[in-house]
Parts: sequence; structure tokens; C-alpha cells
Amino acid sequence: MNITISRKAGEPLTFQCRPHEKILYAALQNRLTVPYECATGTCGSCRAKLVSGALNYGWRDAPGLKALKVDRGEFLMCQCSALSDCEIRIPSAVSVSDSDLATPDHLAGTITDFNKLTDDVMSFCITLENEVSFQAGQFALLQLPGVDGARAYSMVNYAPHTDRLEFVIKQYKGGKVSEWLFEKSLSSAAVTLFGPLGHAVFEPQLQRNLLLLAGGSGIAGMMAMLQQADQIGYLEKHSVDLIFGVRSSQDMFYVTELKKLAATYPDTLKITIALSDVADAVGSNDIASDSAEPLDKLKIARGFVHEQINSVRADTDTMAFIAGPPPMVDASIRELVGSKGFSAEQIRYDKFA
Amino acid sequence: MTWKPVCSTQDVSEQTLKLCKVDGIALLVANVGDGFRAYPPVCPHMEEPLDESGICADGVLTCTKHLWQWDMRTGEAKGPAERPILMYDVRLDGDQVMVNLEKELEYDFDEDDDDDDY
Ligand SMILES: Cc1cc2nc3c(=O)[nH]c(=O)nc-3n(C[C@H](O)[C@H](O)[C@H](O)COP(=O)(O)OP(=O)(O)OC[C@H]3O[C@@H](n4cnc5c(N)ncnc54)[C@H](O)[C@@H]3O)c2cc1C
Ligand code: FES
Ligand code: FES
Repeated sequence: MNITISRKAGEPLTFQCRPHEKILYAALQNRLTVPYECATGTCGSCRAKLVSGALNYGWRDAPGLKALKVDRGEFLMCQCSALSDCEIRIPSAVSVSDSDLATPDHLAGTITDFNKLTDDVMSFCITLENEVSFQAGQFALLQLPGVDGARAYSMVNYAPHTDRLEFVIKQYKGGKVSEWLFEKSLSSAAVTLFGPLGHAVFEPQLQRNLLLLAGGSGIAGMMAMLQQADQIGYLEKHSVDLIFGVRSSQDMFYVTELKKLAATYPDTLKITIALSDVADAVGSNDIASDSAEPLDKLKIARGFVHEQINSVRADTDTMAFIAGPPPMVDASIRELVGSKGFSAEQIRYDKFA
Repeated sequence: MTWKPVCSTQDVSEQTLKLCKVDGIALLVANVGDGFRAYPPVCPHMEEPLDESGICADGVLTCTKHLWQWDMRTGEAKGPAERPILMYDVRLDGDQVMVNLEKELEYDFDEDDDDDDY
């Protein structure tokens, strides 16, 4: 099937879309700069308008449809596939990307190495049939057998080329994919992925100091950035502040890895773990006695991630990355723009919704 | 011209927004320091309510949803924003902020021949 995007400026762009392929996926495989954020039906960023042709609408209850005028032909590119040749319009400028980011594709692999990190957080790996390249901070869409729709998960590891992707997932009560993984914890389930995706990527060539703000499993992409920064010596020349928010000391994970990094780069890397559950938070490193291991160079703070922002190192050269639940991301953006004077160019985010 | 009082200058402190309603029309009054401005109350990107998602700093209005930004004085788009923000005519009458509400300003999000949005 041919999809044609009519444009205000420039000739129409036409690309091939296989039957059942989501229009967003096909556009991205053709390196078109179509807008998207979650790629999973929740945010509404991928809205487009059908001018002619027929669509399979996929998930009818997608929360991202809330802001759309479906009766006027608006649809979500990440949920719809084409039933015929289609002409569509997109409310922003679209062109062929000249960025260095790898072109996303369908990937086949096997889930392995489940590892419970806390009561409700687990890590797992997917071993791919072929190697991929991606940037630290990117995510992939996981499709599990028998579950409707894909889910986005950010890569925790980083390597220039790899056939092994590591992820971390938080369990949600009633959540189809997270419960599937927690209950089955099957080593060797065959799964498919689509990726890499996402714009909130670490670009070492920009030579920026970093401010990393993570809520819960939002730490995933930050771990990949720290891993890459460590590999390429970035932390020898640049300051990096990480604020990692969890509920209580029992909910902390990756403590061993973070401690090791903080000890390696005592001058440039500052890591704060923010505990939001006030009843639990001691507000000092006394908490170390509660946790399974001493915290060494990690600082413990009381409160939400955005409440720690006033104490971080930041100037006009800093690039902030934010990932986690949407309210955490929104509150952090508000603080960075309102109190720290950050411009839009200095902020990259992923809302885990 | 249909000038209507919408609020008092004291109601809106510097670099903040206030949601006002006059004759059933909702609008957002901004105090830019040396003057006042009034905008439709929704973000021209995806219609988020700007009284909740908007934040003002240094004469720039930012929608925290996807970081679209505008010059608060001129309404011009900045950074990733792809459309300007619409503005009502505003004047002061003593400490009353007066807005010309002849016609409610709205973004064409979905008209078929709308060239702005698509
Ligand atoms: C960019 C991004 C990165 C993320 N990274 C991580 C991460 O690293 N770790 C982590 O734990 N979480 C991450 N998330 C959240 C994750 O994608 C899931 O939303 C979460 O794990 C809950 O999934 P669930 O299946 O358990 O819950 P559910 O409530 O079953 O599903 C939640 C989501 O799945 C999709 N969905 C549900 N039903 C359907 C359907 N019928 N058809 C199509 N789609 C459907 C929707 O997007 C919905 O919001 C990320 C989210 C985004 C957007
Ligand atoms: S990108 Fe399609 S709804 Fe978020
Ligand atoms: S809704 Fe305001 S920037 Fe997207």
C-alpha cells in the first residue's frame, strides 16, 4: 500500500506500508521525520488526518485519541494501519531525516535473564537474532505473544553494536505486559521488538554537562547514558548530576552500579537518590543502615525529584534528560524552565505513559 | 470594538498567568512586567489548558506538555513551537485590564481547508 503525505511546503512524500504495519512504523522505517513520543497510543503526538483511503483503527480506546477529532478524520499513526492506498496530512513539517540515529526496524529475539531488583522492579534481557545500533536514551517497542499492542521500554545497556538489550520494568497491578513478565518470568520466550525509537538521546559530540532526572524505571535510559559516558571518558571532562527518585529505601535499585560510578568520578559525578515516601525518608545517609549495603558516595534526599532541582549544578551549557511518570516529568520541566531558566533546547524527556 | 474589563492589574503578579472568564469567553491574562497580554486559554499545539501547562519566565511562555514556547509580548513562536499564540488587544483603564472581546479567538485545529494546522 502507498501512503502519501501531502505537504504545505514541498512535494508530497509517498512511502510503502505493508498490510497490518502501523503507519508510524512504516514512516519511520522510511526515515521520515513524522512526530511521535510514546509510539503506544497514549500521548496523541502522532496525530494525522485522513484525506482519502481506508484505515484499520486498531486500539479504539487509546487514551491518545482524547485530544483528536476522530469524526473529522484524525487518527493516531502509531495505532492505525492502512486498508488501501491513503493520502494523509500531518500538522507539522515532515521531511526525510538526515540524523545519525539508526533507522528503526522489526527485531526478533528471546527474553532471558530475569532478575528481580526490588519487590516490584525487575530487569530482563532480550537476545536478538541480529546486532543493532542505538543511542543511549532510546527505547524499543516490545510485542509479547497474546498481548494486544506494544509497550515501550528504554534500553539500560549501551554498546555501539550489540545483539543483547537490557531492560528494567516496574510491575503495575493489572498491567498486561508487566504482570506477564512478573508472573511468567519465562527464560526463552520468543518476542518481537520495533526500534530503536526516541529523541531523548545522549549526544556526546555536543560536549554538554548533563542533568539526569529519573523517576523509578525512568532510570533505564540514564544507566545507558552513564555507561556510555564511562566508556568514552566523558566523565573526566564533564559534570553529570543524577537525581533518581523512588518511594523508599526498599525501592532503590542499581545501587551497586551507581556507587561504583560515583566512586570512580568523585569530582564530576554527583548522584542523589530522592525518597518520596516521607514516612520512610530519614533525609540523610542514616538510611544506609536500612538498606542492604552502605551507600558510600550516594547522597540520600527526602522528597520528589523536582524538589531536588534547586540544588543541582546547572547553567546554559547543561543538557537535562528527564524520564519517568508524566507528572514527574511535567513537574521537573516546570522547575527547570521556571526556576533554573532552562530553554526548550536544553531539555529532552520521555514520559512513561 | 467591545472592550470588557477582565480583571484588576493586582490580580496577576509579574510573570504569571491568570484564567479569566468574561461573557462566557475564557482567556488567559499575562503580566509581562511592563504590560499585560491576553491569549486564548489553550495551547495551539494540542489544546492543553495553558493555565495548567503554561509557565512564564523571562518574557517567554512555555507549555510544559511538549515545550512549545512563545514570546509573551509578541506571541511569536520560539524554539520547537510551530505556530504563534493568538493575542487579544489589551489596554489598561486605571487598574482594570480591558480586553477587546469583539470576537473570540480560536485556533483552527481541524477545518478541512485549514492551512495553518496541516
Ligand atoms: C518512551 C517510553 C519508555 C518507557 N520505558 C519504560 C521502562 O524503561 N521501564 C518501564 O517499566 N516502563 C517503561 N515505560 C512504560 C511501559 O511502556 C508500559 O506503559 C508499562 O510497563 C505498563 O505496561 P503494562 O502492559 O503492564 O500495563 P497496561 O495498562 O496493560 O498497558 C499500558 C500501555 O500499553 C498500551 N496498551 C494497552 N492496551 C493496549 C491495546 N489494546 N492496544 C494497544 N496498546 C495498548 C498503552 O500504551 C498503555 O498505556 C515506557 C513508556 C514510554 C512511553
Ligand atoms: S505517539 Fe502515537 S499516541 Fe503517542
Ligand atoms: S500541548 Fe502545549 S506544547 Fe504540546
